[in-house]
Amino acid sequence: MKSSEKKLIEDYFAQSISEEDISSLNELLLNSEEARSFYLTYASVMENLDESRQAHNLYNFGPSKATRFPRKKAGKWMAIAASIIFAVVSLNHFAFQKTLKTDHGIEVNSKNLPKIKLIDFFGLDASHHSFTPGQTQFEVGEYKTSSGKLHLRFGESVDVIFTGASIFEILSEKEIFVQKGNIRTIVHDARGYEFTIRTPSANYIDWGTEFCLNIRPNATDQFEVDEGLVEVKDSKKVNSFGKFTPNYKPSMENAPFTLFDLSSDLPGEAGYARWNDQITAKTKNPDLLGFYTFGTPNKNDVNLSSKNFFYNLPKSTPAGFETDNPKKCMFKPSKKRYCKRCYPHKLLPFLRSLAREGL
Amino acid sequence: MKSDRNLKNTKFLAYYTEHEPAVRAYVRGGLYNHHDVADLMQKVAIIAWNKFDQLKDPEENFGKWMMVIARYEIMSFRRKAEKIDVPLCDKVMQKILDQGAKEYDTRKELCYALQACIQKLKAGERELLDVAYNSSTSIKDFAKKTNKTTQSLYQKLNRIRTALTSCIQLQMKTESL
Repeated sequence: MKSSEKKLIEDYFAQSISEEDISSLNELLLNSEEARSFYLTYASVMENLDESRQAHNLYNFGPSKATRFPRKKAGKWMAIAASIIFAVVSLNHFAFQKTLKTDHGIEVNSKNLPKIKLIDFFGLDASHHSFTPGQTQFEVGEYKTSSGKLHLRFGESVDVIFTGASIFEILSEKEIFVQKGNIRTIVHDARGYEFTIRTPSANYIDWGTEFCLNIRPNATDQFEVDEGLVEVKDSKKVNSFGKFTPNYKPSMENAPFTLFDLSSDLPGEAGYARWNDQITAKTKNPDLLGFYTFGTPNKNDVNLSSKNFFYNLPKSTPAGFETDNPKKCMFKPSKKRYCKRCYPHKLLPFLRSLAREGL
Repeated sequence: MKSDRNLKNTKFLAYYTEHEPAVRAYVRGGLYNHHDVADLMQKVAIIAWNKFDQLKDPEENFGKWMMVIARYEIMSFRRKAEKIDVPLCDKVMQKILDQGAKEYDTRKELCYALQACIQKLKAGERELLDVAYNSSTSIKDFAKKTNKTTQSLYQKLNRIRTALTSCIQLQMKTESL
């Protein structure tokens, strides 16, 4: 097998394979038995290594030559002992999913490994973690950033954007605990319903919407619903403070949060988008959600807040597109003060026109 | 009655323990995202347990029978999954799963070959593998310590996995001769 062919399989398992390479890989695996064998072995290697991580020190990667896996078949008593141990482990595995306690005393289901993707980051100073674009392996645990912007996608339908210093803990694909931070949350569709942001004082449960939160240690949470419905419960999820919409605010008596207009302080997912380099991806896949990335403007970027950008607009401005207020969002389907959802399914016709005009 | 159930438990557990790693590796080949492997294996185990009574000659057939269940579950997963989670097309996946079933007996012994191949790595490579899979040190910290970039270490890890795969294939070929 050629090394370039091996590289395709390597990239596939590292989940860093491009769309073009996927086609080549499909063709290779369809036609070559040798490639399929290599693929299957690679899968086994990955799985064995991943399992060794979970089993902690199952393999000895050190310099010792002593084998930990004697090839002799285990004796009868060994088999019985193994069966008993396995029975206990299985019972635990199937009947009682393991729970872990986080630093903040929250119980997390260890089996509920989150499917979380890093969409982009900008000016990020993450003191304890490195973030790689496209990274999908986010463990349950605490993350800290001291500046910049961080855009994560939970599952396929919840986008969470942090701005500035933040301390948060990923609890599952549908739940985060935030100790500190400016957050914008967007739930795209029903798959993301009940996405919950826990804070030391409350639980914000998203029912298909966009909302902002400002969490500060030892201070009242600041909260704003931009669109849709958000239910707020107390920290133990026992008492509900009601369901909030942009126009309906239930009784705020004893509420651990205040309502506040936060949107102007938060990044505004469209405001800093630089999606010029994503046009090809978007035109290929009309269903692509929020592929936009953050960044400061440079010659390769399109910064929606830049006046220059508006000067370069194609002559045929799509309907619903406003150019009179470059500091705010250019897509204003209604007279609301702020762009709510500038997602590619809305942007697409415009992107296509840009692509056509060679911008 | 109770002793019958105990006997079933013991037998099932013995067979399951023996075959689980190879079936899990097979499942890994059928899924793009490794987070889905544990869930799917759990389904496979439950189905296998429920249908264990129907299996004839488990001594001989248990592993391959579990693979049939796994294969069915993989295809069912693919039908429900988002396109992004199943980049390989169905036709290719069928071929991969066919070949995986055919090569099942040889793959059962893979962990021994892997162990041997890890020992053949250079000390630096073993150390990186240890950091990635064994130690509490993160790759980022290790990168700082060794004055390298995180990205370069991830790339090196990929190359190590490829080298291990080639080594295992060679080893298994030699053994089968």
